[in-house]
Amino acid sequence: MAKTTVIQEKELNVVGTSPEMKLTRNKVTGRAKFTVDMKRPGMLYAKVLRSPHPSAYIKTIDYTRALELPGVYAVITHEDAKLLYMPSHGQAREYGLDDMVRYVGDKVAMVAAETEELAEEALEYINVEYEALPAVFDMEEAMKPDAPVVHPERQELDTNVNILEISIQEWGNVEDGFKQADYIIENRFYTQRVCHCALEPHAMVAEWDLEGNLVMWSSEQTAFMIRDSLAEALNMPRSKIRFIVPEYVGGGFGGKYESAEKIALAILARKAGRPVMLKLNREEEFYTTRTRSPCIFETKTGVSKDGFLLARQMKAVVDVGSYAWGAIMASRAASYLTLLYKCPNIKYTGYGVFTNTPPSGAMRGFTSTPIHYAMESEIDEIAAVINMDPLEFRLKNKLDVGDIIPLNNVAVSSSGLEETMIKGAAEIGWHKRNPKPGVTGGKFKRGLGMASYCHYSPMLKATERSIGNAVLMANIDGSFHLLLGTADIGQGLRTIMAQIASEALGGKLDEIDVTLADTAVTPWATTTAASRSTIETGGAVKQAAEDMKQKIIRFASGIMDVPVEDLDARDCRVYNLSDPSQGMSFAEILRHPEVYLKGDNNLVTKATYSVPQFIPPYGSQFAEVEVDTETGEVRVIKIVAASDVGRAIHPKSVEGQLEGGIHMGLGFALSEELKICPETGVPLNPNFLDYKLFRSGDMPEIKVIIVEPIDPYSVYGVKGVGEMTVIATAPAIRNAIYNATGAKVFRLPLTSENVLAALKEKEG
Amino acid sequence: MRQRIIFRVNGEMREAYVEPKTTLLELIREDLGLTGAKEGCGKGECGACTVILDGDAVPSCLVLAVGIEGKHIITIEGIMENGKLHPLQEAFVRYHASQCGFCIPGMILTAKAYLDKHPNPSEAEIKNIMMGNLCRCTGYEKIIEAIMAVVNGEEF
Repeated sequence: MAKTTVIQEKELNVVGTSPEMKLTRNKVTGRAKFTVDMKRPGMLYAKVLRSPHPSAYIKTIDYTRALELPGVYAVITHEDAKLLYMPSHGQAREYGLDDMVRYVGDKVAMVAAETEELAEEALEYINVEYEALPAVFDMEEAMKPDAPVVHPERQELDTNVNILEISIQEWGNVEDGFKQADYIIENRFYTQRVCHCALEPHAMVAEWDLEGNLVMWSSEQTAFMIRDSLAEALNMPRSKIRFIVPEYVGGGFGGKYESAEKIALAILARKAGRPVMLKLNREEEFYTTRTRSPCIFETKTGVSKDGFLLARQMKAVVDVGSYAWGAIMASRAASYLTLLYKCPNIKYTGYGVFTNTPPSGAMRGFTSTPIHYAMESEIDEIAAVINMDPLEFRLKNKLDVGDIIPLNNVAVSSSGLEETMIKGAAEIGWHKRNPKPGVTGGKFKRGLGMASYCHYSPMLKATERSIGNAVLMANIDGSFHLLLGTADIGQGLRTIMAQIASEALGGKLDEIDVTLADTAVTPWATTTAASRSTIETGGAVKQAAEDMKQKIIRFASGIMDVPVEDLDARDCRVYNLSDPSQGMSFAEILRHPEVYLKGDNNLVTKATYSVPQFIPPYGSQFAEVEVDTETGEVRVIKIVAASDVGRAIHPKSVEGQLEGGIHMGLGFALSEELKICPETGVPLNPNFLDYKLFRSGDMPEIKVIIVEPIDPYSVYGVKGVGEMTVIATAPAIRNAIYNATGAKVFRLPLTSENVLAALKEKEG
Repeated sequence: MRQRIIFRVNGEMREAYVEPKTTLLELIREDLGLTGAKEGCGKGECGACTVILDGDAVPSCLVLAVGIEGKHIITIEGIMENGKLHPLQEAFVRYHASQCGFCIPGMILTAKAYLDKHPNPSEAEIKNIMMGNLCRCTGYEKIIEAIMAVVNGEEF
């Protein structure tokens, strides 16, 4: 275990308050410039020619007629850009452009022209001859030995080539556990494909100079990871690529940190000899970026009659689509069987499977959200079998502080899990829950349900790295610049980091300028993902700010002739602890000849911070629903989300994250699904009319409860927040439907159709 | 086949030469440089491109530029008064109603157009009139809270 001493924080002045968010005035006045608002001199616009086939070889491409259109500068195909985008999992390759297409919408060619309209028109003048191949759209079909092959380049492998990965993880012996069990239940759950739907579609600009340097601006959740994959693909030194995430990014949710279009765009811009912008339209956004993997979970659980979990077995099939980042899900999902409840015997088998459907990738609550639907629905199924209140069952089986997590052999360092259960239950009125499902009400039946969660954030195992960097520079007037490699995508990172710096430094919040995510300017960072930035980058910011404060105090000590230990700083002023009226402002100190004449080399601090261990973010969600038993329609009346956030640095911003997560959770539970035609592979509803996000009037009453069991191993005790409330919304609603009606729904989303089918099944 | 149109934007008379198929969104973003209106879908389904056209909130991606001859358009850039934020803008700041900010100009203009005509709506009414504006970040909680603060006469 990492050696970290628990430092008692003294009274906090800035951390734990909710000041105005930085740059928010630019957002409400329309002055905020997003990537799509950029114009570089001579900039062209790109469009992508996309495949109408779910699987095909490209035999020939002829674009001579497209190039003849006045204003069209360049066209590229696989002959220009067959460059490996990112070292993908399991030898499956994704190129800038390939001579094979693997889903409807896969990229075939790219055009640069003076206007977007012209680029679009030019696509019609590109003639492509395809050799169509058989395709497979269903994950279980794809696992069969004679299934059409999604990635023929994997043919040399021994296994079924569509199976990207098989992950088997076991703790204890489930067979022994089942033998001891008084009851064994088995279920099969299905979760659907959903989309991020950030309001800002992806936009990116590539620009080369004549010395072979590439600059790229992109609405992105990471600068460094994408720069690295561009450097690998283009065979360029990293130093010749500058990747900049603009100040304003219109939401990410996991959908903005990978896209092979960037390689193609870089090649296109080089060929065109001009800067080129690519912006995706909403339809492309829906199915050519990344989607949440559809999953099948087969569960088998053994329990004692007094309500203890004895054995949990799960088989997960994860549809990773045509290109996979979702692959991680097949192995990582196992973690969640070990994080919430004690169980001596666990066995997990996960399969990541390719199909000719849209690519998969990370999405808010990545790896945790689908499996929690299965796990937390299963808990209610078990509780019903042994006739126990599901809240009581959870309280009885939950992991507590000090319990060892079997996955990583780390003791739970802090936990608000019980508190979230108790407070959430009180808020929803758990005592008035139907003792027996479906006994009250007539046509309209009401019920209560709950689900708890934990998430993989920012890392679970000691072998994974979770590192933050920060550079802090002082100006002579006592204001500061903070340089960080991670991105603000709307979650408020810029403000949160300035709060941490301000707190640790004794500086003024509005005099700390924050520059983010520019590979030529800011220090290296991981992705803005996995709810990691506050823990990881925040740790580095705190260290850099404390070092800066010590430097300034040392200067002041010399000037004031007061020992260092008698001095502290607040509001950009160093003061004598025994006589606070005696002090000097940072500006006075930094301008003092003693300091100034020595040069400014002491006025930069930098820090690298490594997250010492897993910092468990727990929580519980409760739902009250009303079900129309004639139509199957579900109306959510209230959602209560009690979340263990460690410490809320900016409580209003934490609330905003939790509320936004519930919105996404409601969509996943009830209304969202990207449907793919089972015969042709064509996406059927890639627009906001047919793919239904919750709108303002659709929202139920929401209550968020922040629970703060300060974690001893993280900076100020914080935990990840961004992803959490999306995880447990669907099982909480599903369990409430069960409590209302007795109907067991195993398939998401909980549409009238699926609920009505479950109601009919119950009636037999 | 460009056509000359004369119209007002944020109080100022303007002229432009537009193609028959140019949308109002393209006109204000590309020709007038008013980029506060955003294209979120291009089909009138998300509300990010909302502007106020002769007093009504409209998705500017669905309005043809040739149709605005003689009309008055108000964009998010045009609702500050005497260098101060409009009360709705100030409320969105105070209530932390903006996360990524991409949908926010549309949200504020939809609310403004309605409140200008109906100064005392109920919360249910506000939730209903905001149905055309999608937000993926906030769950709408703080957006509705900010608008209701203005409705309830909070000082901004």
